[in-house]
Amino acid sequence: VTSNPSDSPGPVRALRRIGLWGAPSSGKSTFLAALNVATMRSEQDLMMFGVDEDSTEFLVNNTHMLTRERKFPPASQSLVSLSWAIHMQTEVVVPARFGKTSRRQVPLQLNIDVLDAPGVTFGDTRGTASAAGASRLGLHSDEMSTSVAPEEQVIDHLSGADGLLLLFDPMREQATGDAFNYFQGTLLRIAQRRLSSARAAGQRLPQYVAVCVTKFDDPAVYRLARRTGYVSIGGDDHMFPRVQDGDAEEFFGDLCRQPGPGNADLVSLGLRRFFRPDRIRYFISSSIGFYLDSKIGRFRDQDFWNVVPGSDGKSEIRGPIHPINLVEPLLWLGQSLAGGT
Amino acid sequence: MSREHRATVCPVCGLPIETVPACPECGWELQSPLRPGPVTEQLQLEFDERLSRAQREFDTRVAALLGPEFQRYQTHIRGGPPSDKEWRAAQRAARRVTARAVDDDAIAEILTGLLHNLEMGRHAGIAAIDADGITVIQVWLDSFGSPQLHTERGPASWTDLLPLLSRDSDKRSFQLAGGVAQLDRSRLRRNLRESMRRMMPEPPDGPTLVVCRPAGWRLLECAAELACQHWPAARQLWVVNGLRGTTLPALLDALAAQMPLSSEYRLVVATIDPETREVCTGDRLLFAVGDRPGTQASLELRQIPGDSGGVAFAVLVGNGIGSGLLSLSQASPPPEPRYQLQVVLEGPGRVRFTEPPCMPLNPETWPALRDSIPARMDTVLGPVDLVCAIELSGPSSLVRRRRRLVRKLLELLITAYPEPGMLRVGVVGCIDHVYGPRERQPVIRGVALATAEEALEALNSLGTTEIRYPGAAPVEDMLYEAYMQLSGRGREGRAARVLIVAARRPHPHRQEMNQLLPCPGRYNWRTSLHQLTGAAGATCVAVADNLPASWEEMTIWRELGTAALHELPAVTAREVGEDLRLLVPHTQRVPVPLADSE
Repeated sequence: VTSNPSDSPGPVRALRRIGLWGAPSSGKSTFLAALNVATMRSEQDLMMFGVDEDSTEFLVNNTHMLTRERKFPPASQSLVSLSWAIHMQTEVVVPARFGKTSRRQVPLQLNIDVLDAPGVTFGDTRGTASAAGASRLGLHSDEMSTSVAPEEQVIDHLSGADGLLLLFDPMREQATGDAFNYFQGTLLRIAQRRLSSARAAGQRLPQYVAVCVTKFDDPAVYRLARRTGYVSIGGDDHMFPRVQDGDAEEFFGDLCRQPGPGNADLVSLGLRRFFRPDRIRYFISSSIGFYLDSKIGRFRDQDFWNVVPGSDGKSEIRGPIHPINLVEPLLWLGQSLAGGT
Repeated sequence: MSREHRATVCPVCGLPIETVPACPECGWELQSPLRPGPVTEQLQLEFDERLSRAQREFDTRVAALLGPEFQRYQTHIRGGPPSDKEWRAAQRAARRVTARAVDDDAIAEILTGLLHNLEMGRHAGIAAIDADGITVIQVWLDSFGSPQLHTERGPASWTDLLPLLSRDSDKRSFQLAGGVAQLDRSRLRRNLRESMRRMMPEPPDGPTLVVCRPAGWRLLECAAELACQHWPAARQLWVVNGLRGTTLPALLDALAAQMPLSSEYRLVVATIDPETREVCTGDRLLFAVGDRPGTQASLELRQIPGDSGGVAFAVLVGNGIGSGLLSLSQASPPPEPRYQLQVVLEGPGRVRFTEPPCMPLNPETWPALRDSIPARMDTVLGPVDLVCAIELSGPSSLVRRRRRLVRKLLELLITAYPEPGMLRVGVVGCIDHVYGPRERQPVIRGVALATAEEALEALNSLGTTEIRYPGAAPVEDMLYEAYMQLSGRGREGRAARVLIVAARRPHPHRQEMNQLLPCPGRYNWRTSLHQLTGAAGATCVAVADNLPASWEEMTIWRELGTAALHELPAVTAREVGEDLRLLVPHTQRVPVPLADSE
């Protein structure tokens, strides 16, 4: 991130990357596709656009797929490097006279470079990696041929990122229990790259980590949140429920403690062990959001799931999407990174 | 007649005589004073003429007892045919002898009185002595108050009782009436006494009657006197030669058969409490006290719908405690749900069912039949509305199977409920909810309550659609529609039934923790079901293509099938009809007729 902490700060260009990290089918592609809609629906002064052709095409195609075709973007089949710029207003601390500081709203251009990688790349063993198949964005297989193994590219990408967006799919965890497996392999390799030098002794990884607990709209997740008292009615016109960011970590802990086959609680412990706790924040999010009854125009607790089974057996989207907590993690990352500059 | 006998009897009446101047019976001078001189031819002639006249007069008096004309018995009258004067005198004498006799009406009245005044448990005796012989009859009331007749002795013919009598009926009648002059009267009396000793039983504990008919016939009256010696308390009756050509036993039998009833005859029926569905056994009056043979009775009865078994008609005598089974008959199930039972009282203790045709049943089977009457009867008897809810989505073979079950059920019901308006059927089919922009589009097909025939037609026209939402079917929409139909106006007094035939569970009302989407129409299947089973009082039967393995889904299906839950491949339309309480189940067959009261 490049900022200009002058008296009249102009737009700043974020040069640091944010890495997207998550197990297969944790909703990475959908998250990215829904981000555009989320920025559109956001009350913040946000603007998002691709910085290159591929990123723009990704944005256009997947937004169309989500909103018009009501279908979920297919899972990533190959490594795709995408980058978007987000213009936002953010608050930064600037030096004032007499050695004091003040907070000031400054325009910020946050550049997000995401290596959209298939989930299997983040496995804990190298043998599970797979990058077969052509890119959904039309990349040819020869374009993907590289001397570096895909998993190495991803690890490089994540370890070099300034912020990490960790997607945790509680439904996948409930079904397969492999969240920790995918998490720990990548984590250890990032640590190997960043903390192996003697200078780094006693230090922790420097990245800011936004943990997005996805699929808040799933009945099992929402009902658990509601039953355990984490849900509050949002301030939006549609009265969509939310889990406040202050409660998100605790709710994440509750999710990890749900009976299941995995060791999801180790994810939380691993994050605290390798990253600075003040640089970790949890968000309970949903890419497609809750179903909105168009007749009454607000959320109904009786009928909220926005996913329907399609004729081909794949899930489809029932109605318009209303992403929840997609922008907020990026805003927090951007603000954190800008403030830390 | 032997010479010795001829020498010792009265030449006129045949009475054995001792040395007496005149016959004590007929007054014939047996010993006249001796007169001098030989018996001249003239004297002999005069004696013969006098004897002949005495014999003729004696026999003519007998002939006068036999009938208005003597010619038939002329050959048996000694001394030739009587003169007019002699015949008139004989007729006058006969009238004197029979003056004490009663006529046909009187004897019928006396016998009727005897039957009427019979006391339960006592036996009356009637000795009938007539021209044919002797019959001793015992009369009593059976446990139902019906007079019963039993020929205790006889009938014994005179030729058996008194072998001395002629085999020729006219001559025997002549002898019985008193023409015994040429018989060995001593032997005759001995034979008669002996025969009466054999014929007369011990006097019964009730009234006794000795009836002699025709009155005035000497041997018959002798027999009656001897009978009275055996039954000292007997009332002796002499009857003119009438009885309308019948015998006294036949008359007695006819009178007993015409006796009015002394106890009520009632038909055993079942009634069903419309609230508790308990079956109570009761009875309905067929014939009242005083009803006479020939009286006809009819009762309006009901057939339980779908009951293919026969019905037993049990007639009890009396009312309440002490009533007993008089007759037991069985009829095929009447084709109509309501039918008239027609019964004729043929006589005391005898009833005949003319409609429907009946066959007698062994009365010993009655206890078992009575015990087989169920304690409850769940089958509806009154007007009923049925809504058949069918899921139309899925492979066409399966949908056809669902429709076939409903079709067969309706065909059974059409037969069981032939009365117009008694059964109305609504057919409701559903196709899948298609979530998305058009998810509020109606998913219900079918017809509202109509005749079963119309419903059958609608059922056949229902199509088949593909499954669009595998997890659930709009059963909740169908239940709501069923409730709308079964709670509408004009349904007062009509029972409600719902049949659900589907493959999948209903959509939930609210999104639960699972991924099953709620009904976009916001129908709550549990609410509709409770309304159906509660306010509408409906009986719900569910048939699933396959019963689910999961406990949760099985619970839902069990709720849907509040009355019964079946699996489509294993159930028959008849079973469904029985579970819907539209057709009577075998275990709840009521073997006696149902009173037309519900």
